Amino acid sequence: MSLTAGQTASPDTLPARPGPVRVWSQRPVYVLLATGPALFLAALFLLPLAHVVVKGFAAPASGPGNYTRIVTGGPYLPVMLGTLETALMVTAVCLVLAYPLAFVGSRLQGRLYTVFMALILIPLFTSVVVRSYAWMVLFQRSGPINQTLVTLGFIESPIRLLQTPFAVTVGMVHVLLPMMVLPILTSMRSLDGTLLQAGEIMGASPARVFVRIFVPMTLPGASAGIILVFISALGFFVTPALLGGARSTMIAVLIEQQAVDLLNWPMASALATMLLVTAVLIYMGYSRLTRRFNEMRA
Amino acid sequence: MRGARIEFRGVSRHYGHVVALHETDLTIEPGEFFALLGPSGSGKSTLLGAVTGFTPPSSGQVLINGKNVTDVPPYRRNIGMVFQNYALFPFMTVFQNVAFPLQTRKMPKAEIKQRVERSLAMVRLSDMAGRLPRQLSGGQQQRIALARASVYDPPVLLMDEPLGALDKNLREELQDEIRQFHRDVGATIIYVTHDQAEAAALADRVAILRAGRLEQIGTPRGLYENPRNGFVAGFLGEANRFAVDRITDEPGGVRLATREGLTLAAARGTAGEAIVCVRPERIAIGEAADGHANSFQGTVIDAVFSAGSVRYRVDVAGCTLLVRAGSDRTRNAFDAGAPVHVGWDRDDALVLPA
Repeated sequence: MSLTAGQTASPDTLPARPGPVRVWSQRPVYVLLATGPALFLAALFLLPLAHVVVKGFAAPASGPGNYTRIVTGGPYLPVMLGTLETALMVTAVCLVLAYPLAFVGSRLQGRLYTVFMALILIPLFTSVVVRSYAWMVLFQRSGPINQTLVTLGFIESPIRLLQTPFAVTVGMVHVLLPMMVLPILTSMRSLDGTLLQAGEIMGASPARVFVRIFVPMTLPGASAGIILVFISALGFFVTPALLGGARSTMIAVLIEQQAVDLLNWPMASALATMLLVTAVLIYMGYSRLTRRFNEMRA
Repeated sequence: MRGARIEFRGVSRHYGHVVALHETDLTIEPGEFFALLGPSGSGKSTLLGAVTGFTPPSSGQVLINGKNVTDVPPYRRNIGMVFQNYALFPFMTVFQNVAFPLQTRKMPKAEIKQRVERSLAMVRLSDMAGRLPRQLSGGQQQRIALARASVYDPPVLLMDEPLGALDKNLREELQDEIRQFHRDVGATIIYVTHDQAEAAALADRVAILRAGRLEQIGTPRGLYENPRNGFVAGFLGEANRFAVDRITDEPGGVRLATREGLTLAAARGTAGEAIVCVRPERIAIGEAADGHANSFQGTVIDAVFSAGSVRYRVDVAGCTLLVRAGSDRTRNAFDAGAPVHVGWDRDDALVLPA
């Protein structure tokens, strides 16, 4: 019996390899469904964004004047570099903390796993402002951290914790950690356990199996976490504004100062554009890297 | 390299109150191709897990070449294993996959290269060395897995349903290849499967398991011809099975009344045995059926042709009989609905416990 197009296939006449699946986006109904959200995004996201980009070139005189100022002097470039450095640091700390945390989580079953996920997710659903204020309380001169350190004799008198890069890093790590844990956890839980068994039965010790198989297999999750955390960290505002103070300013804090305090909207726009372009470039580099990596491996 | 002897001494496995494997003693001879056959949950994977060390037994010992390995971790057991899903490392090339066990053994690079190439040549995939596993077909992946499991000459090779994920034609092709492979490497192979035809085609000996117990061990032919009970008879090959109601002695053997209402003659049988089995190919059909101790008139329900034989379903007094006959065009050609004669000898009726 031959199978012709349009004919209903009974299970035993189904071809072993299904033909190309119809691309869903060609269906008019889906195009219609996508129109609303597309218009919404265009009006409320793309247009204002374009406005910001244009504004950076429009005033005080039309031309790249704001960008010349950014490159030639002022706090702009050092703050941008400091932002990149902080973001890198936060990402590194997140990775170091999240990988073992996700590993533990990936071994859990049933109720324990539910509790673990709740512990990871509840902070994610808690306002960043609330969490940053909580850190302010902890980091205060008379706060519990200083008191504990004094009581234990590590320091003689309370030290300054707030308004340091340290406080910013800790606060940001706390906020961003779930975004690192979740993709890593997903890659660990979807890892086929027989691969690890195969490695072990072929003579690799558990430590070697971990390094040679487990880590490479969970690298995609880690790289997704890295890019999520790094790009989010670049634009962080609330946490550095509350915990950082003037000396450890991040670029988003600087943009806010320009826009709100100094009312220098063109400069704020130029800085925002620079941040956006930086993030886009980093993402493009990342996606190109992962694509090449994926072509190289499975 | 020669294969190792594998001994199970009183091996059992419990999960809480659930017994996955009752105390089992079993010796597998060096170089033997040994199949563990049974439905899922019968304990065959548990036995395998006791050899690998991934699911250590709750009691008992596992010995490889006389050495107690029960407490030896898997990576020190020097065992090769082929998994149902191949378990090739997706981010490594074929060459790197096969080289992996040699690298863990700290072999010099030149020797690794030489051995990997020899191993790939053996499974006829030398030109795939630079490919990634996902660029290969299922059958090719499984052959790479064979090469990888044997490249370090382990004296024991375990195969856990290695052909389970492949389609039928490929399965039969790879069966031939695995038999050749066994002759080439000489390792003791323990082969887990729930496919009785596969076990019979490959193994020197087959152990049939049910509900965590060894039901019977023997050569495929021995198990087929002398099953110990109805389960074994039904699991290995096809069988017509009737429940026995009453057994009475008569000249030349016994007479059985089945629950289905048939009266059958058998060579031997003792009271308390519950089942009578007749293999489909032992039943004669048509003119050939005349003159047998058991002889019935029936109606053909349907006839299915397969290579070399025809499989009839024949209705005999409300019972459905399976009959397999050579597809001789002149003599054995009965259409559905045709009245036929069927018959078999006393010796072909096996009376067994359930």
